This record gives sequence, C-alpha cells and structure tokens, in this order.
Amino acid sequence: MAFEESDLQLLILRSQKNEKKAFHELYTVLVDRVHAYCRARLFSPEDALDCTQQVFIELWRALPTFRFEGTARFYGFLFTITKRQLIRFREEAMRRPDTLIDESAKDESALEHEKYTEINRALGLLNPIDRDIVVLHHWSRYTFGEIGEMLGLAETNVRVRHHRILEKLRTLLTG
Amino acid sequence: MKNDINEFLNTHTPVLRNAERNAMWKHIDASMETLPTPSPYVEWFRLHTRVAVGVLMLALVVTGSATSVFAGEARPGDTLFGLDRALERIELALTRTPEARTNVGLAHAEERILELRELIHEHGAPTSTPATTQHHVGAAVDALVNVLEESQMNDTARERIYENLFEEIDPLSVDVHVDRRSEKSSTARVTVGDETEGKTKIEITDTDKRTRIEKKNGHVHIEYNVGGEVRGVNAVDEQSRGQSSEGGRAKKE
Repeated sequence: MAFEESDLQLLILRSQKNEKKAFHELYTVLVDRVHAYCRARLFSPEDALDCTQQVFIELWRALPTFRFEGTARFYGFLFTITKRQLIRFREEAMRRPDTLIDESAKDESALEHEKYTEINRALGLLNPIDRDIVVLHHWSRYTFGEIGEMLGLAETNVRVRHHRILEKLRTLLTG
Repeated sequence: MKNDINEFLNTHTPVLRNAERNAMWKHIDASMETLPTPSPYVEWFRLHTRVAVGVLMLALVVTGSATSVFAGEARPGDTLFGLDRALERIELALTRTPEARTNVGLAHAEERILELRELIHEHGAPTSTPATTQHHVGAAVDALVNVLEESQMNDTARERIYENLFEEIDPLSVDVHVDRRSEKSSTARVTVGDETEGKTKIEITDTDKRTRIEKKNGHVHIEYNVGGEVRGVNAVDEQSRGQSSEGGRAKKE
C-alpha cells in the first residue's frame, strides 16, 4: 500500500508526542511488512508473531530518539530494530529443547506449511543479503531505494543484485 | 521465466490474519502503558536541535554580557564581527514568517550600511591608500550581501538596500574591486568605478547572476541579470526618493 511520506512523518511525529492512536495507525501500516520479514527469518510462525510484537514495543521505546529525515531512513531505523529482535529470538530458540520440532507449526494448515517449507528451501539457497533483498522487496514491499538504505547498498546495486537473484532462483528451482 | 519467479515469490507471501494482528496489538498496547512518558520539554529541544543550540549560545553570550556588548559594536573586519553575525543569524532563525524575516533582514542590512558609512569616513579619505579603502569597503559590502542572501528578503526591500548602498559608495573617488566567495563557492565582484567616468557603479556577480547598480543622468538604476536574461530594472528619480514610488516602476518578467 503506497503511503505518502508526509503522512508517515505526521504519524511518527504524533507518536513521538505519546499519541497512542497515531502509533496504532503506524502499526497498522507497518505490521504486515515487519511480520513478513520475521516470518522469512524465523522457523516458527509463533516466534515470528512474538518477534513482530516485540519490534513494535521496541519501536515505541526508540521513537523519541528518532529524527525523521525521509521515508527510507525511517525504514532503515525500523529494520535495525527488527534485526536486533531477530538475533535475540534466534539465540533464545537455540536454547530451547527440540528446536527443530516446532509445536506451533502444527497450527498451520498443511497447505500453508508446505508452501512455507518450499519457499524457505528456496531462500535458504541464497546468501543472507540476497535473501534479504528478495524478502524485503517481494514480501515486505519495499522499493529498491528503501532496501538500499536498509542494507547499506546503493539503489542501483540492489536492482542489479535483484535481477541476478531471480535468475539464480530460477536456475535453482527448475534445475 | 522471470515472471514465473516473480509470481512464485509474490504468491508465497506470509499472510497475517486479522485475529493475529489484533492480538499482537493488545500486547503492544499493554506494554505501552508501562513505558515512561517522554518529557515534552526535553523532546522539543531534541527535535529542534539547531534552535536549541542557538538558544544555548545566546544564553551563554547574554550571561557574558560584556562580550555581547562588544560584539554588537564590532564592524566588518573586526575580530568579534563573526560573533555579531552569529547572533544575527540566531535572530533570523527564530523568525516564523517571510514578513518577519524581511524585517529582521532589513534591520541587519541597515546596520551594515551604517558600518559601511563609518568605515568609508575613516578609511575612504584621500589620505588612505586604495588598498586600505578597498579592504574596509569590500568587507562591509561583502557583509551586506551576506545579510541580503541569508534573510531572503523580497525584491522591494532588497532594492531599497541597494539604493542605500549606492548612496554611500557614490562619493568615493577611488576604484574598489572586491572578489567575493559566497557559501555556494560563487564569485561576486563589487566594482566601484571612478567618478571621472561620469557614473559610479556597483556590480555584484555570482556564477549565473549579476546585479548592477549604477547612476545615469541622476537616476539610480538597479538591474538583475540572471543567466544573461534581464529580470528587473528599477529606476528611481532622486528627487522623488522618500516619496511614493510614483517616479519609478519595477518591471518583473
């Protein structure tokens, strides 16, 4: 969903002034994007939900220190918070017994489970940055410029890599 | 092919159900209750850092009141003139409307004109060397142009200041050339011609624009030339100066 930069800035400013309603609107706009990325990076769908939830709690805490300098910068800020939470969840997952068998996955329908297994297998064949580019563009719906800001790459670099990634995926999946 | 891959990726997007979305928000909302509320006063200063720094500087200078008094008396070329300009920039930064900005800019510009007058009186006499005259007059004109650029005042106010500048420069009997580098790395040349030529002119040139102020047949002409195209000419009858603009008209393209 396209969201004007000025609207986003306004929501952020209002959230920084402790307006919960504004933060809820911000959450509504961003939650699918954040969840999509968490889901791609965590094995467990339950962990993905918990991680997403924690990202927004951390965002609320961190917003007072944030100065809006454009949409891409804000997405980069949000991405940094997301990655920190992902590291924490993965560390916790390593400490849990039977990490390879996730009970919550049984709540998913068989079809959904099969779908995620297939896509995770494909994404697992890519290096981490390439995987991020694919997930952030196709699942979280960020533009190449925004992804460049998040990953510290030039936009043209992201575009070229994306093209090569798709070629590679096609080869891997059809080969 | 590529489209298949795109479709494959797009159709395998994780879906977040409304129930999951709402449940997450409930937890987030509950957590938000316990977080400390940021102080609105602290937050104002954090969000307006430049103004906050300016206010702090101003407070430091005002508490050192002797320093600020001396800075206020500094003229272009003096050691404390930079501090004087810094205080003026703070004052300008605190303006909210274009009108207020023009008024503050006018006040600063008029102060530069007064300083120019004093400097010409001290260093423009025939006993001063041309280099000395050039140095002091150039510094004063340079400072005036800085004020005009920073305040972004409207054309009417700008032309009034240029007329005042011309009146101060007109009696000079020496050539003054000033190469001025603005923040945009452009070069401005202020040229004051010799009285024996029959007219005195001031020319301020940037990379793509030129402002000429000259006198022809007793009339002051101000001409803006941007990229080779004349933008505006203002001819003011000396006898009608101080009255309404009946004798002159600014033509804008």
